[in-house]
Amino acid sequence: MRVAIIGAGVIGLSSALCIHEQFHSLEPSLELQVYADHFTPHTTSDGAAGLWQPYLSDHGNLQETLWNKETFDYLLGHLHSPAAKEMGLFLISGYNLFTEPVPDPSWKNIVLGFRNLTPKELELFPGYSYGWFNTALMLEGRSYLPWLTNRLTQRGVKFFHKKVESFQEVSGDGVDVVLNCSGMRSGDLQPDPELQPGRGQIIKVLAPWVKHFIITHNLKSGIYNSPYVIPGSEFTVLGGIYQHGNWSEENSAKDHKSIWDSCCQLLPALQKAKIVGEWCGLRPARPSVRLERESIRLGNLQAEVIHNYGHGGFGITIHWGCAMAAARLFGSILQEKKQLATPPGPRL
Amino acid sequence: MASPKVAVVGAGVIGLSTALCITETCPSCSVTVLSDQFSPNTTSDVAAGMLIPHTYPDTPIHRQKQWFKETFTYLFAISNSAEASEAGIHLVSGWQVFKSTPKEELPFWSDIVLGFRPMSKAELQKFPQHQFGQAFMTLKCDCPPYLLWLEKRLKAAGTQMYTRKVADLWELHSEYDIVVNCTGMGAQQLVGDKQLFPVRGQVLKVHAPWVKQFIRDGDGLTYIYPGIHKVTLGGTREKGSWSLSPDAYTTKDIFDRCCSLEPSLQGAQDIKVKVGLRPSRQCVRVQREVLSQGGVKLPVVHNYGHGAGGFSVHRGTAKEAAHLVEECISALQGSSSRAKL
Repeated sequence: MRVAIIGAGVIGLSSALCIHEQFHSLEPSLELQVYADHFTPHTTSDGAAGLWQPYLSDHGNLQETLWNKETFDYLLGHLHSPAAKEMGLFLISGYNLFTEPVPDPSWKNIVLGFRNLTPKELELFPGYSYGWFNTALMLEGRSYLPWLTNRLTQRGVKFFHKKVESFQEVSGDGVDVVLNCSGMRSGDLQPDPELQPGRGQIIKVLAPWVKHFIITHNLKSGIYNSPYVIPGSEFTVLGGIYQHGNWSEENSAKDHKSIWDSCCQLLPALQKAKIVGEWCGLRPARPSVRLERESIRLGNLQAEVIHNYGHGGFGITIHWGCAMAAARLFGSILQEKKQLATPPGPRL
Repeated sequence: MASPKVAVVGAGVIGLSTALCITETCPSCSVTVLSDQFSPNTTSDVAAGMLIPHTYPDTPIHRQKQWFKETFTYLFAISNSAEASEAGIHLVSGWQVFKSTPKEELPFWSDIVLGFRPMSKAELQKFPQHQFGQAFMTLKCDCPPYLLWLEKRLKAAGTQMYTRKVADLWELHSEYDIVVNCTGMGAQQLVGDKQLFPVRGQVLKVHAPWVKQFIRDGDGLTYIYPGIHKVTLGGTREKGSWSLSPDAYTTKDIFDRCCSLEPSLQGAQDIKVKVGLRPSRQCVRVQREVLSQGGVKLPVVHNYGHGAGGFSVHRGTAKEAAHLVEECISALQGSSSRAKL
């Protein structure tokens, strides 16, 4: 049974791993192939700071909240394992800041130690009058993706550096299932007007004295359009750009200034931080994640496609829950194929 | 007295912060710091510099609380300014965990640190051997940066600093009007204080930049304190030991204890071992004294014996010592005007 996975970001690699872990012993002929035009460190996932945190509201999408929780619990379970450092996984605490009181988020009981900020703590952030403090997780893409790649390589999964232009391209030659984890480029494979870029830009700095994440919110400008500071294991990420519909993959001087000025206002000590890099990427934004099966007719063949894309700015946050859901869809495809292959019993 | 000459003996966190407070309360004073060691070779340089107070058995609690509050407020303002990284001051959050519920659930400083609260069951799952815990946020003073920053502020205020071993306070009476004794462990010999005793502490300073939170066992013996560049792992409390040499068995023991609290430390790199002798006393000696020898008087202000809590109360005791210096100046001016009659 051959499975082609399109996309080698956090979604593609984790879905591949989840499927292989669950089914390789049940299906000895299982062969996985990953196709991508970009591999780590050049994927969208590599640019993300890696903080586990969903958006403020799930808009009633309980399914996504559940996938977020599954991901958090899965990662928390790995925190004390010897693999944690290699995975780029560690605990981190920090602040969410608002200019007015807001309802508690869907994830308040998923993270650890969620509480409101005290007035003394808010003194640190003039202009913000309300906020939260909690302990969450960091999963750094530039460590996690290589770790996933190593686990997959150990399992005999093959990688192909190729820009896939159509499902047809990968589904011939005995491929039974295609896993579409192509993120921002899914529209090239199958038009999806709901999928839009949410362009982000970040500045990487050395500021090792910053030990907490700080995410500010401006309810009028929307998510991630307000400064944020996220300390990683090697550098600190400064951000605060979310431009819906902007396809530009060039760093913008205007966005740089906006990030720098707003983050330095938030944390004056950042003025002394050394800039070590800059990056921009396109969050694959969608009103909800597309995670579903589709049977596609390609010539006289039928291919089963499992779509798993549209994770916006919360791909790392939701990835494992989605990988498991994709694996369940794969399992049902496997089941159906086995049932078709089994000859019908005698009719009495 | 136009320009009182004040000598501060000692250049650890107590000596430097006391000198700085004196320049602030007495701008007309000429302040000189004398010490046989400066950063990075002081006892303060070994310490993690965490603002978690040590309780002195014989100092009234309200006084300790006042010292801590003043220190916390002072450093909080620096941490929030553009100077924070240069001064080495940063906020750090984390947990204090106990194997059994402590009899005192609310330490005297719980309302001064930020966000103090008991840990939730979910948070305690990270520490299977511990039954109870407290979560809070406090400040950390990284050394050498903090001491170097104090030195810079002192130089800007016109303070002179000299490497000099002072064997006897009387050496200074002809050059200085007032002597401030911030010699830490050195006070045992310098002023013959038998109530002062060393408590040896060995620590490891390691590279583990993914550790963003502190963890401290309530027994005070095992702790993980993330600094700007290095994480301090500790420690030991060996009362009466004067040895400044690292002990290899202790190194392994500290590492093992810390790894059991935070398994990811197994991946720590570049491990350096340091030893310091906490200048311990039942109460911190912040006190005025007038030494007398053959008709000559020498006003002395003592500020030593901070043991395990130097950083936590340094600014508070420095301010108190600076006030005592002012009192010395008033007394000198009073007696000199009497002499004129």
